[in-house]
Amino acid sequence: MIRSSLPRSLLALVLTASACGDGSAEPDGSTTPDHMVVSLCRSEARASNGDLAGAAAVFQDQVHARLHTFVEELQSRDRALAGKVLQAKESVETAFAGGSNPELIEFRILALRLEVEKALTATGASVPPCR
Amino acid sequence: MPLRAAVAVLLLTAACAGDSEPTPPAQRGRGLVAQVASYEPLVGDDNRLIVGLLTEDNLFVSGGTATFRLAFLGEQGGVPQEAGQAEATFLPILEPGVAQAPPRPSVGSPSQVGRGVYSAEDVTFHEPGAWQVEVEVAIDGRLRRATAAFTVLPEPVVPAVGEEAPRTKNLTVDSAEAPPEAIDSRAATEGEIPDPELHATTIANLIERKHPFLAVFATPVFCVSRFCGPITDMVAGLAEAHPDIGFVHVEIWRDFDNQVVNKAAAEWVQTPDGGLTEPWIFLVGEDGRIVARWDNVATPQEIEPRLRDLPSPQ
Repeated sequence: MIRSSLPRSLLALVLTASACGDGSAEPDGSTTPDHMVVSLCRSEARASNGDLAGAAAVFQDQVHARLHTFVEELQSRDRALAGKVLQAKESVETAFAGGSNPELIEFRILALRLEVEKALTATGASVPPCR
Repeated sequence: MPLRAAVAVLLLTAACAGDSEPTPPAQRGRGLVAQVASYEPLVGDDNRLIVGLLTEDNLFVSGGTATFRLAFLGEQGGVPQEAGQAEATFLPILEPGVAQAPPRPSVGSPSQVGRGVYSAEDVTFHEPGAWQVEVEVAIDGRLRRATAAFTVLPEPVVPAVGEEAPRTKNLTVDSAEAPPEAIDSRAATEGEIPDPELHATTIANLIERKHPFLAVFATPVFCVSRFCGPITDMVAGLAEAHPDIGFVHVEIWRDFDNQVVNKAAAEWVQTPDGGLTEPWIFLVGEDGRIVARWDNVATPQEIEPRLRDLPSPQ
């Protein structure tokens, strides 16, 4: 059952989830619940520019742990949706591990972002545009 | 403490308490948090205790060594009774985009310092019940500490060293009745069952043939632990290097969406009350008994020597 507003616990988890450092040792002060999406946009942009190391670093530093925390909460509310997010995440990790070309990695990060956005929308959270 | 309660406490095990010294303003948010990553510490003297160390703002402490100071809190918890200490080394989780661990404990994001856990071997717990570990590391010349509580069980719930391995008929690439993602959760996204050599035979068959083997119980896609890493990939790498030993991957989920656990996984890593811990790795000798096991985080450096020690199959 999907509720119409973002549960407080989910908000809190996203707010407190994970860390700083955007892959270039810059601390990242953003603590908004949609930060995960913004970070995915950033990782996608780096892949788009051919900077796979930068894309992987942003993914590891700003997305990975947040995603685990987010999904852990999400799966108690909508397990199928949580599964889709985890599948998309695994596709990204496989692409990074296999040294796939930037286009494929960019595509898979985009696919993950869309799944995350779908999950956020389903839980009533706002979804920021890629900047 | 009843076993079910003990397991529940263990699964919820974690954290906390920051530095023992006041945190200066410049380091706000950088107090340390310890998280026990071991699933099943047992009474006895051959425990591997693994603990993750993070800052309050979720940066990792990685690299070098740490000191674990153990204390027994009693059946109900209480005043800590000192129970020895152990030196722990850093076990890195190796994955793309993550840095190599530095030689000394350092704070940073995964791309800066990597991520992983501190591990102490041969840790002794003389009593079941509530325990506490104080983790001490030297970062930039300053000692930093964090404590975490955890539960020591009187007896194993998951098959343990010395026990007979369950003669499990796990799914293989020949299990036509099973959806591919029940054989390996990655099949749903990769279009085929990856690492077919890990899905070629059953544990029951290997035991029957008195063939030593290593079995990993993991769900590569649906793992939600903070310390998840590409453990099945790591095992596939070991399989390539050790063709004389059997290697098996058992996927945890038959149907993730509907919470159906694969029977083979349930036989090994599901508790009587339905609880589940993963990943686990088990090494089984030619006599069908468990020689070693690793929970949650494991590295080739820990496993390789044990594989080399196995007698060659006849």
